[in-house]
Amino acid sequence: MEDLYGIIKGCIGNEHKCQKALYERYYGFAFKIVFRYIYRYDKVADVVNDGFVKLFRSVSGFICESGGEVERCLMAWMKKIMVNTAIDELRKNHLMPEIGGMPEQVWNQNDNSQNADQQVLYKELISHVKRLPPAYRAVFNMYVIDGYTHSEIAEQLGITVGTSKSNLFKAKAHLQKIINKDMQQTGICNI
Amino acid sequence: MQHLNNDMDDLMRMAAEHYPLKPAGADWQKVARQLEVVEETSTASKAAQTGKRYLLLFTFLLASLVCNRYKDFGLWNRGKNAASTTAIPHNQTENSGRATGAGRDIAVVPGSKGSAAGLVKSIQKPMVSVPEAEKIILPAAMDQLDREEAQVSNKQPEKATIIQPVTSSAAADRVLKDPLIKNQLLQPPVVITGAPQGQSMIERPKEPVDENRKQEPSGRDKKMYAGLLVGPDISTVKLQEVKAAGYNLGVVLGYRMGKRWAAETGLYWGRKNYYTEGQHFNTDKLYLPTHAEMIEADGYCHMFEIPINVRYTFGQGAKSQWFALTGLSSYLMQKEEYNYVYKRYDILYNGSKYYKSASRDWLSVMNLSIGYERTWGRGGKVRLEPYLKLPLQGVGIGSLPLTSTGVQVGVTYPIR
Repeated sequence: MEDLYGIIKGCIGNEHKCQKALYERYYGFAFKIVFRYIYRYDKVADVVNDGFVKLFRSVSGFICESGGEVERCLMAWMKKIMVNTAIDELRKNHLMPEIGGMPEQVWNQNDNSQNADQQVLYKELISHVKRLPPAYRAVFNMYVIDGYTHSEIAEQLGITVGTSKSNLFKAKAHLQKIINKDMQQTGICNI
Repeated sequence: MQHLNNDMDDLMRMAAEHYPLKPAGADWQKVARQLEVVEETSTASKAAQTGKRYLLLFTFLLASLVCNRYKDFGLWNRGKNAASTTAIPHNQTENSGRATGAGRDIAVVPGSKGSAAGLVKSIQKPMVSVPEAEKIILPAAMDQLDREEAQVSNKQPEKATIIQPVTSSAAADRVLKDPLIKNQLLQPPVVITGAPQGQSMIERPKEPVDENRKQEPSGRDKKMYAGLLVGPDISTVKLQEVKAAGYNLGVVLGYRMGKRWAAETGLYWGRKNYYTEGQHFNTDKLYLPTHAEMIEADGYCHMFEIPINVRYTFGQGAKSQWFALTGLSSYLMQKEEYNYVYKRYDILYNGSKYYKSASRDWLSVMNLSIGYERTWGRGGKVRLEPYLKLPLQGVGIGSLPLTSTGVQVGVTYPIR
């Protein structure tokens, strides 16, 4: 924890060594957030790097009111910046759908057989979310996973609250359809 | 069958936290370079903003210094060359006395240029008000006055031209003894010449016209004026590469609000040529293909410009004057054409787009200029006006921060 305090302090003081330490420590965490929003794997790294640039520019404004949970505060704040950066990227492309497959090498192969099934399930669920149209994907990620309210989503995406709710409903319906189709194909029992 | 409900939402959240992804593409050097660029940009933009503020401050300081230099308070120029002032004291018998008492009065002698000049000069130096009806001859011209007064007392006043007839001599006396007239050392002496009975004539002294003397513009000038202006224009985006010069031509309409201030507007038609690198070009309205990144753009526009300016005149001579002008302009784009290069998946492409009446940028540009004007013909003025137009916001389809400079030359005439 003291290490983290020192790193954050160093980042506020624009010390490159501390910035690099923070970057390397939380790159994976940020990558997993942005990967849910951005379809193309090779684009995710660019967005994450842009997010870190924004983070280092605004680190002097980072405040953690709960003294003992600095890392939690930091991760929540970092998550917000990464989500905003990902949304900016989607809006830059006018929320246009992207095409292409998901290469298998992006997934971590877990040798632990106990969690293998669960990992496969999580991988499938996230893959299904990524295949949603960008507008639905953004709303679903922001509302269900990242905990934004519909008014916050509407402000961020430049849409109305009604559209946000409608997109969420459609996203869930879409996912349900895909998952049902998968269930029929693989014959997996209900969890 | 799995259904997406609250349990599913929880499952999704778990999946988002624990799904097995292999993060790749971590490149600290790239981030460090971007941070350096950001720092340089913010330092440069701060420096640019500070520079703009200093430029504005310098412009206004310069204008105020020039105004102070040329502003005419009417104190030090009057009577300098008042050689033809003539006057006759209203009571010649009293004129033989010398200066007594504390006050001073204007003792004037007819027909003598030298004495009048000396008198006026000596009047001006001590700026004290003169008590009423005191006839005191000023020390500086005393000897000469004595001689001239002797001449005057033996002379009959000549018939004078009626300038301002007064109905009674009592009224004339009141004019003479008016404390405002007598006490104001700034005013030239008032002449009473010989007049028919019951009527006095007051002849205002003539002051010679000195071309070098700085004059206030006459309030009797027509208040409205109009004219034509034309000139070359050079435009640049963020002081990048400058392309070929464009042009401006149009009409200006002005309204004088007093001796120095005026408001101007007009309608100009112009062409601007410019170049920019991709980062300054807002591609939102360009509808480039997905994942395309603008590298550079080269373009021109044809547009109407509507300026609204305030003008301050200074350094006025008999035939010429200087002015400073500032205000805001609106750009109404009629045609824009761009040739651009963009990158998509690391491949460079050329593109070309052309827009008609694509944008209206109201009050988006600040005008600054200092000009020189000279009388031409009967009532006309020739005008030379170098200008600088600074962007307050982006203009055109690409929201480009366009800075323009050039010189306008033209002629204006009073119209009403």
